[in-house]
Amino acid sequence: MARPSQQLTHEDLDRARDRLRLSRARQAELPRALRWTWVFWLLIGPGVLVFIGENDAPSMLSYLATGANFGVGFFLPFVILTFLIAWIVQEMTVRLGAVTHRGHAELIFERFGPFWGAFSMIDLLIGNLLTLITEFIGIRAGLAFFGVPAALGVGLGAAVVILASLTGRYWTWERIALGLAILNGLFVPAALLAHPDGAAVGRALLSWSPTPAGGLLSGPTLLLLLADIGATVTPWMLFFQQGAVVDKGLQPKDISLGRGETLLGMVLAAAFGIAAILASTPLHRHGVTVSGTDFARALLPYLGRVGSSLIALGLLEAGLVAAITISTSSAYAAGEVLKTGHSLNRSPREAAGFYLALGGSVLLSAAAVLIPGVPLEFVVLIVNVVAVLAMPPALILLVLLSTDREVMGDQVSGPWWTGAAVGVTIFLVLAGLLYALSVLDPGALHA
Amino acid sequence: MPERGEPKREEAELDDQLLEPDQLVSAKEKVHLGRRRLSPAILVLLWALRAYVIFMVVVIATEVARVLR
Repeated sequence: MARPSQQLTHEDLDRARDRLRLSRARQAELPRALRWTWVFWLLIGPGVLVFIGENDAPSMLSYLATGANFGVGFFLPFVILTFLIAWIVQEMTVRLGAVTHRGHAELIFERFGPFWGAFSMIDLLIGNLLTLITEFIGIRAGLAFFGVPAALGVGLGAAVVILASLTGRYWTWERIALGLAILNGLFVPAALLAHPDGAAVGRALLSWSPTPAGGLLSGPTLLLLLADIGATVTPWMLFFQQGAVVDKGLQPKDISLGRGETLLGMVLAAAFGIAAILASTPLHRHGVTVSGTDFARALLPYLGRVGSSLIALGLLEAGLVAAITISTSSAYAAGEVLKTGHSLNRSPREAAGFYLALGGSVLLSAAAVLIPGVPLEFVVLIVNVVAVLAMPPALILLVLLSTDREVMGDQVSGPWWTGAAVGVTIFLVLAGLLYALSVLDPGALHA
Repeated sequence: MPERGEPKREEAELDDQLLEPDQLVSAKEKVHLGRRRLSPAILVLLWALRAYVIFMVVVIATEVARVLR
């Protein structure tokens, strides 16, 4: 199809350059395995970033709190289950983005209108702002371990997030974020320094036991259970991954590899999440209670200086990468709804609304963290709970879009996938209602 | 290197081969997906989930107030 050149923007050309690189890799005269690895390397990005981004500061703090409160047991296989749930959900955003070349907010507004679109935007923006605040709590906690003052640490974090987005090129931004995301793996050596009992870990994974002493339905356990679900399934992930798939320029022929890189992200994030639980189990063994978010310092006697530093750096990374991805999801959604430029391939001058939403949300949340007297650990746990509660409406809109043949064509979700997604929605609603019951009538769950 | 906003002709030709027609910014600005007609059952589901979110917000506010006290 011939297109006049004046129709093209630099956003199109930058995307075409990324496609050219991919096309050359696919046609390269290399051994099959090498060529496949090269193509996969070029396609890697949205799926890995969304999952490592969701291993954010509140998530890693929830996992550390889980290990400290309950040790090795039920929560290990439970965390894997939550990641599988998240993969089912995120796979749909890959197909939606690659087929429609439109972001999630744009699709919701176009197909369901501004009334339902406004609700989903309110859920997203409030959730994102609260979550971003907790990312800066993580950044502050990580840097505090190395003696960096709170204001300086938070300011540096905000500067890194904003500067990373100002490259004017999606590809560069993506590689910077991926480079930082690798550091989420620091929880693995930290876990090894905790000397976990391999046999106990194996037993827990196979038998889902031991379960917490007070039962799964006791108030604090239920809160942690919901926080761990919220650590993997949240609305911003839908908006971010679909926006990034569109910005990267993925097409229907890339869907299988996009699905694969999302699976890779899921496996890596699950492994790092479990590593965080294992790293803090010495606190459970020694009956140490941690108040606030200072797990790195609490673990110093058990993991040593190196292990505790790894935890602190891991929290710093978790906060930074998530702040990058979450602020970008807000910016994609805002740009799509306001119908202004919404691509990291555009400069701030070409997409002022996009960059204002990104920078504004970062600066607002960074400032909020410096307010004295905020109960940090509670804020961290409650943010993940809020994410779980906002998820069912977002999931139903996602299911409606991915089963819409007019939108998806041949890539429409099949009955099994749709059934799984509806099952996830029911699971999240029931988990939320159980939590509500535990708050409103704490005795009811023990009757 | 051309200035931003002035793509070179060979780059435009390159784009023709690599991007799908509906992937262009100009195409996305012009073509819109139509509004989907929502059945009564779907509308009831959407409203029920909205009521669920509002109810849960009240629950969380209750818990936050309890903790802050």
